[in-house]
Amino acid sequence: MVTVVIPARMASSRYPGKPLVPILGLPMLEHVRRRAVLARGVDLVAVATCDEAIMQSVISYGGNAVMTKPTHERCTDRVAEAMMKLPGEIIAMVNGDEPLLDPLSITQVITPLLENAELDVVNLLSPLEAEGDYLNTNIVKAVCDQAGSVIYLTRAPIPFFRHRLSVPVYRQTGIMAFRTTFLSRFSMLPETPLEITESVDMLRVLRVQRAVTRPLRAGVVGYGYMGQIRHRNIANNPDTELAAICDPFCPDAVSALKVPTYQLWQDLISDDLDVVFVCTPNNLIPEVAIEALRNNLHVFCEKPPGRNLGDIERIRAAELLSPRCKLQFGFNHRHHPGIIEGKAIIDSGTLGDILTLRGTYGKSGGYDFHKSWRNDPALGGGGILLDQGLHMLDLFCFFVGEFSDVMGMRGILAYEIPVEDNAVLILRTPRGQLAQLHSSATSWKHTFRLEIGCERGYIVVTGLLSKTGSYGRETLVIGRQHAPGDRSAVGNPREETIYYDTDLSWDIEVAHLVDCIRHDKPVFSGASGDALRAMKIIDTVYQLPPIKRTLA
Amino acid sequence: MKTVVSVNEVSELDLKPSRMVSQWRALVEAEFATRWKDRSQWTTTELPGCNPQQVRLAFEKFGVAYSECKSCGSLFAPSRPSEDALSDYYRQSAPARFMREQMMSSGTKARREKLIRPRADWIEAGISEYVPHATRLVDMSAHGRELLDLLASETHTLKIILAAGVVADLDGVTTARIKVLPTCVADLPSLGPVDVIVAIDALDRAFDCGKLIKAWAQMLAPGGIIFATVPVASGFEIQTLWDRSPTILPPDKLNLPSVIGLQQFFAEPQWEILELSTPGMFDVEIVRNAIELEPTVPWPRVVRSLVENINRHAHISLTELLQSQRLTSFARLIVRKTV
Repeated sequence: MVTVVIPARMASSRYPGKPLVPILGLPMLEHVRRRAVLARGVDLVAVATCDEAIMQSVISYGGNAVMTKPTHERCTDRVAEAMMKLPGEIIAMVNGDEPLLDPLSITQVITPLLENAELDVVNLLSPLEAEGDYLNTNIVKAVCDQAGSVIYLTRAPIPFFRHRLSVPVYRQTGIMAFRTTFLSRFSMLPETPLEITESVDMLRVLRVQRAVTRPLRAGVVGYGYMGQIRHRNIANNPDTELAAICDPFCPDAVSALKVPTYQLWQDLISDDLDVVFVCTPNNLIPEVAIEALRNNLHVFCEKPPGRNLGDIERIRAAELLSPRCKLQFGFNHRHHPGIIEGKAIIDSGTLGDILTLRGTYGKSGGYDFHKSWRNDPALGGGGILLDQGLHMLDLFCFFVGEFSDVMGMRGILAYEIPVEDNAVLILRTPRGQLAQLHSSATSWKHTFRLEIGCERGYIVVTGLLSKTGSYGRETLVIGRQHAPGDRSAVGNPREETIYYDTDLSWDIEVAHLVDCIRHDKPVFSGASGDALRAMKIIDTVYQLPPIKRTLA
Repeated sequence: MKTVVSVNEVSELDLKPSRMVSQWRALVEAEFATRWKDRSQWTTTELPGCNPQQVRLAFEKFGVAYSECKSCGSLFAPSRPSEDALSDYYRQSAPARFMREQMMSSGTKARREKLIRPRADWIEAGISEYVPHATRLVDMSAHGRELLDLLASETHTLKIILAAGVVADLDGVTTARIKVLPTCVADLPSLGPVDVIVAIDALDRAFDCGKLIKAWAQMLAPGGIIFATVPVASGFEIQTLWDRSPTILPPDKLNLPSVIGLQQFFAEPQWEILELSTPGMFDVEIVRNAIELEPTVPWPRVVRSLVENINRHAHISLTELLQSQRLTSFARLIVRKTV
């Protein structure tokens, strides 16, 4: 899909209000837009502006317009932001002050990109015809090699003609086309000294080519347990840097970090950021995530994805409106070493098809468990099933996909809390694979155990590498069905046990998000679809209230 | 880093009949008495990561002094024959011929099922997990041909398979899938870049472990991996039997790093240890046999009670415990070259 974007703003330094100056009864910008619509091969034309007046003008003529930040100095940056909200693999940028724009020039600039997948940028040049233009510093001149690739761009009169040769002098037309994946990378590159000196943003393309990028600027909303983990992940990733934190409840810890701090998350997401980590209580997650997406920021949300199915559905709706933004949820258990290796073994097919899954995920609530915000329905939305069982449900889906039948019961068995402290679920996939889950806040011994039974063997993941080690050593057991001739007894097959020492799960999922952002790839692990799938299961079980245990 | 525990019910005697082991040991002893009567040409070396100021004499075997690093607990023979002399020993000596021609072919079925097959599974799974697009493999194992044949027949993505151990040409011939090219350590880099190095029992008999590991680093492509096995001094059997350990026999076992020492071998930032396991299965059996053989030795009572009169299940449980804590005397590791 090819999209033409026309950047326009009222605060032109040389001619304020220029885009809306009427020419023959139409604003100048509208002339440009109507000519762009005539170009062959173009699917969508939109104006990118930071001015409400321009926005209203375009809409009044039936055109498309998107609002962008008022802080952009360069057209390309404004267009890059607009593309976060617009579809299209190829984008043509046309200046809003070219009322005599030839639609053919747009077709000319996009055609090389359509025909050659190796190309990322096309800058349409035209021969300089008037002699006065050669000395005009408002016109950007281009020097090209014999293949037509730009060597340098400048406002100075070049090349210098010591000898009269038939070397053409080119000027930049202001019509360019980009592959959108390139444009998103390009807009993240720092300005170069030459670009600033010449005031020619296309010099950035020449200077840095495609390789050099600045780290993604990350903001963290909520600096509690998870926020601090995310801070470490950001520090560990060479492609991210902590740029801002918002947490009104721990100002001391935050102020020691020497990054801008905010009391309000709304202020943080208005900062110059690329990605936001939402590490708040569940009730705030949708609000922050949706607003961040609206602000064209990539978003990483801790689980659960809100308090209920409605929350994740609203987040997904916002995600659809910001197709350039990446949204990932913190299902880090997928990236635990035992799960990674277990999945690889299952996927290799050596154990055959999965028949059954059995998961136990339990924690000891502790003395103050009943006081935790997690058990306040207004803040948390649910009990232990939503808080912790969600991880196991995500793992079930990770291994076997969608469940068609879900049954469950939840109970308040030990604590004086309004939400469940235990839940038991049984599930079935459309292919008939069976699963059962026990999620508990009354395990007293922290417990993680996932058993996967297959046609020719089984795997069991027990324990989880964690900061305190309270879940025990993370272990993967692989057992194979008894074979004829085995010396081991039937029903007690030889097992292989793998112990793990290192948990990189938090880092891996952040690296995944960064990779998706950098290469404009869809999030495929911890995507909003994964979150929705697990939340649908929980929603089914939550249709009935938890039953309180009666005393004997 | 991960640790694999895998208890395969097999006796060492299934793989190496005791009569042959005794015969081989006698040959080694006799060879030492003649071949290396004069040790003036021997040179000294160190283990990577061990401070020469931190070693002390541990014991002697066939007149070869073994030192222990006080810092990491590794054992090694500081004074040893040159690389060429060792190579000649492995090619020409009577014990080496006996090992190659008789011991390796005895217990063939059990050896294939209990030793070679699990090793092939380990390597194939490791390649599939860590270097799925590997095309070039170099084997430098001692007597690795049987394993290499299995890998060549089952791992079809490998396009180049080189048998580069010093006696590779005596173990087998060049075939359509495997090229035999015995190569000294100094020439190993010329075989690169490769994706996979297999080095079963290569570190323990290396003249200079540091140089060997350096050569591996030069051979490996970035992201390439090494599969290596080596006896470890920190294991139950060696720690218990010490100078009486049948595992320690020069010149095959010149280097016996501890688990910590082994990690120091690959401590430079270019290496990442992906797996370090001690899947040794014979520690309990070897210790029990040694106690039976020399009942008058004042063995620690706790060791006697641990290994004597225990049933099969307790034997397996003890082996599992030792493996899970990296406490057997045989280690395997997978190491990746990160840059």
